[in-house]
Amino acid sequence: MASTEDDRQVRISKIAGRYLVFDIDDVAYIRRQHGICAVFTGTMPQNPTQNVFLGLPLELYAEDAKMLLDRKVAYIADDPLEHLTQLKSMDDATRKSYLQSIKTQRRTAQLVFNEAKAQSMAKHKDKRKPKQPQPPVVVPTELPLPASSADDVTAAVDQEEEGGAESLLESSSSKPVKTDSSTPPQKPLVKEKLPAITPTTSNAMISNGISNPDVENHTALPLYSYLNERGYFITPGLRFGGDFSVYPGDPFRYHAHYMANSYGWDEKIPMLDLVTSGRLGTAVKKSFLMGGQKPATENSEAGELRAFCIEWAGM
Amino acid sequence: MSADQHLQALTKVVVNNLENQHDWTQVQIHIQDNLPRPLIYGLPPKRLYVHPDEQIDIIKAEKQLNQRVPQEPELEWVLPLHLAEKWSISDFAAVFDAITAIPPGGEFVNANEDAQWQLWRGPKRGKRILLATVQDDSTVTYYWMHNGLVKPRQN
Amino acid sequence: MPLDDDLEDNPSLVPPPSTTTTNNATGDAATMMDEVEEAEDAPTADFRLFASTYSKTKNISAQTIRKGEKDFESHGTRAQASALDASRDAMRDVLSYTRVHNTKSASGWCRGWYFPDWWKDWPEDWEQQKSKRGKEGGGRRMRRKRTGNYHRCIQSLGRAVTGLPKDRPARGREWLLPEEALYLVERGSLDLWWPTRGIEEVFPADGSVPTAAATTSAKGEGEQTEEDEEEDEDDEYKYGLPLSLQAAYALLIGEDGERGKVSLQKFQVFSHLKRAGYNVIRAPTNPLPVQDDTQLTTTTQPASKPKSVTEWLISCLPQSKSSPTDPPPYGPLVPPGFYRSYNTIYNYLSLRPSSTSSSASSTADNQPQKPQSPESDGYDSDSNSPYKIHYHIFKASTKFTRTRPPPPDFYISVISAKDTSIPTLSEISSLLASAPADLPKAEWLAGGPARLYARLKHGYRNVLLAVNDHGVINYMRFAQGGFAKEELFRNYDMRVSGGPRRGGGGGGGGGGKKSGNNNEDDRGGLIEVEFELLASRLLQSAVS
Repeated sequence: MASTEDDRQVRISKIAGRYLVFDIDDVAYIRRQHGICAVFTGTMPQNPTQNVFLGLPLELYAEDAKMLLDRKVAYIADDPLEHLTQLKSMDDATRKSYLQSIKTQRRTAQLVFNEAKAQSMAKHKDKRKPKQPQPPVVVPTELPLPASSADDVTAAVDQEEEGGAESLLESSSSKPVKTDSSTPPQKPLVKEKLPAITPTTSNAMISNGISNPDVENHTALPLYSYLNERGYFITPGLRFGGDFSVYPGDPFRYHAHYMANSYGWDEKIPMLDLVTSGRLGTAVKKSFLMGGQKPATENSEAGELRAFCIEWAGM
Repeated sequence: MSADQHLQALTKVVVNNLENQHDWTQVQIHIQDNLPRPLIYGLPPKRLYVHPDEQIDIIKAEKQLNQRVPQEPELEWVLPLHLAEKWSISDFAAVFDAITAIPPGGEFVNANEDAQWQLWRGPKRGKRILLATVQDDSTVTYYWMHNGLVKPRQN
Repeated sequence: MPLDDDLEDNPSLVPPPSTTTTNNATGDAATMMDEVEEAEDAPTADFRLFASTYSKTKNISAQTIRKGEKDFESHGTRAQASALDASRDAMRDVLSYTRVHNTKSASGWCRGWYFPDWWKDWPEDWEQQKSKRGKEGGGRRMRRKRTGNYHRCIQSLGRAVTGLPKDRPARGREWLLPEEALYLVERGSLDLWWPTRGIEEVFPADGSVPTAAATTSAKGEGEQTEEDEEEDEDDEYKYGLPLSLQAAYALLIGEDGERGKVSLQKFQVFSHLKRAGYNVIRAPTNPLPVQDDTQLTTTTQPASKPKSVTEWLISCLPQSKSSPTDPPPYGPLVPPGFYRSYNTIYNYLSLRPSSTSSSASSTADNQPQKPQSPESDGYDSDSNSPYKIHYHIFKASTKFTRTRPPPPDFYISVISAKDTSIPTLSEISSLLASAPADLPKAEWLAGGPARLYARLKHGYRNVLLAVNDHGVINYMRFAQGGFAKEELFRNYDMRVSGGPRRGGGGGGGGGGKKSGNNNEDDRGGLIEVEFELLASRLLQSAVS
């Protein structure tokens, strides 16, 4: 995994001026290696009637996208354009490889489904035995494909198919899926109709780098990357009343330390704003952080960034 | 009223408030060429700020010494402001650049290199200023402003 | 109390999902919610909790993970690092899920086709339906095939277009808005396809379902475009390709107002509300018809109060019953003298028109009103204002049918936290004016002073703002307060005229007084108004 992370190129889908990440491996990578957690915004198909846990896609700040782009670990893709182009004029090879990857996933889904069914039958049997309290069987109406079990299954299904296992997990490949169609067609393992699937990403269909749109509106980038470089994680500040919530590490583990606002170097800030923000921050046990960057001068390319923290003095 | 007079009046309101409402002592008005306006410094009746890490060092020291470590108050900087003012990041940066962390005469003399907790009153003390914001009715509100990233106190 | 029916960001307060077949979580789900609800920041919810409720094989029980376990900062300990790794691994596991549609199950599955241009030549009213959902499985009716949640969500979404000519393709199919289609894809309920053939072929006008036919009589079809050994499977791909979630976003998310698309901000609010169990429909793009002459007609009614500066000036002429005489050009507003009621005095003092007093006067009107403050004269030119009603929201408990939706429980406007400023008076007036009156409960209205605060808090019109900051959504309620309706001075009169205190001289009689303005004297009910000016006036008149 380490080697693949080295040359990983995160695909950032630019859709209507917003920056989204669909690949869970990209998400895990930028979280682990680049201190970016951003916000999960999608409905979880496993339990779509709650708002506590949300899933893919991940919505990035423009600042996140710009930072990753500058570090050369990501590319921005004009997703609507690339999808339309590909869908409207897909060549045979791509089409075949795309359908192949879908078929592989369908077969895997079938196997997992059968397995789950067998398990539930077994548990059902157990249930008949007296005095053995069982937790209610977890058989979702929609079928989970946990990575662990999927791994085994995939290996069993078609080892010969390169990239199949990877695309099943929606994992690995930000690199273009091989469009080589020389793979020998397999005998179907099951004659019956396979379940249909909706892949999470379009990795099997579109390759990277067709378009390279720019990242716009990243005015807070100086403060943002200043904090990121120091190991802070940043999420939207709406909950605490600032531009950003700033965590001293992965928000999975830590409470936010700061609510932060980014200002221009000479932007005049009403004192009342400082007092209200300071009061608000203290009320949620956070410090109010304000920061801005000195504009470039002849002597220095990128001016220094100054940050100040405000707390109620208690007097 | 000229700007000078305004600043004088503003400073006076804060000095009065510190001395008479908050019982500060040794309150001084500090004028310096590179400062945009007079600062104030003085000694609060009790310790006003303890850095979260200092707190930990104090607890460690108290465990080690098996006795309470007294928390003497420290001299603090005060920047008088009026609520109607607007300041930029660069304005604040200029003030911080012009001051030392510890106001004149506030150096902790008996600092012992071995006692970590004592360093917070000397070399480890970061620059901080009390923003004293004056309203028209001469109410004064006090907020800490720290230079750089200073994590919040956990109380 | 009046706010109890507000939408809350707190997930524990949203109505429980009514029918949850997908909620396979055992008792743990409830525990999970309990533990998470107090977490200060939901986006950081620990996926281990989620994983533990779904996969018993993970050996993580929700009980062992308690809330409040987050630390203040890193101590560099191994325990911290491994806890973080566990959380991240759980996140990865949970989010590696692939959406599966069980084609074999009796309930069938739902396949949608993307035909964004099919309605483009139709009147604007139709313009909103873009994406096509056909039904698999020989055209059996969806509602019989699905139960539970699924049933619910299908019932409350989509739209069948009736009254089409018989030879039109895809008759009787349901059409989805982009946000509806994307929401269904995201929750794993819709298998969205890109058609590689025209709609006439996918959904022939004769009503046959070729895709289903392909599955049943695959071998009979001679013209498969691909040679395949997989028997029936590849025939499916003759008409199109299944799309990924990413593709669905790429095709359905767009700029605000873009044809056949929905903005990400609105979609996030839409799906947030849907997940919470609300029924959500798009507000009509053209607000309910508002008569242009509303202002004129209402001003001619004697009961209505002034609305604009000009009208107010006119109203200063002695025509309005509420102010008995027009204010004198100089001198005291309240002429010196003896008054038997505070009403008269306060009516003299009442100079400023208030928008609520006028809307309150027409409480019966349930229609959106024309904005009334002078600032909102630019209402029509204000069409660029982001403050518009975008969705109508229905509580899960409201009996809901798509074809004839009941009056909405809430009106919501979706606002970007970063790109939008606090609304101006004119924006907020226009926004409120576009919502129908929502009066306080009848018992509050009848409740007199005791329910004063309930009435004030509820207001007379309201709109919810969904403020979206990159996927984090806060809901706020903006209501038109009815302060002008609450004429506190009427109570003074009740006390004065109805009060049994008569001749209670020594000033001790005012025990029930709330206000120092109660200038009762021992003449009982008579109020004396005296001004220093009185003397000068008298002097003046004596001179002249």
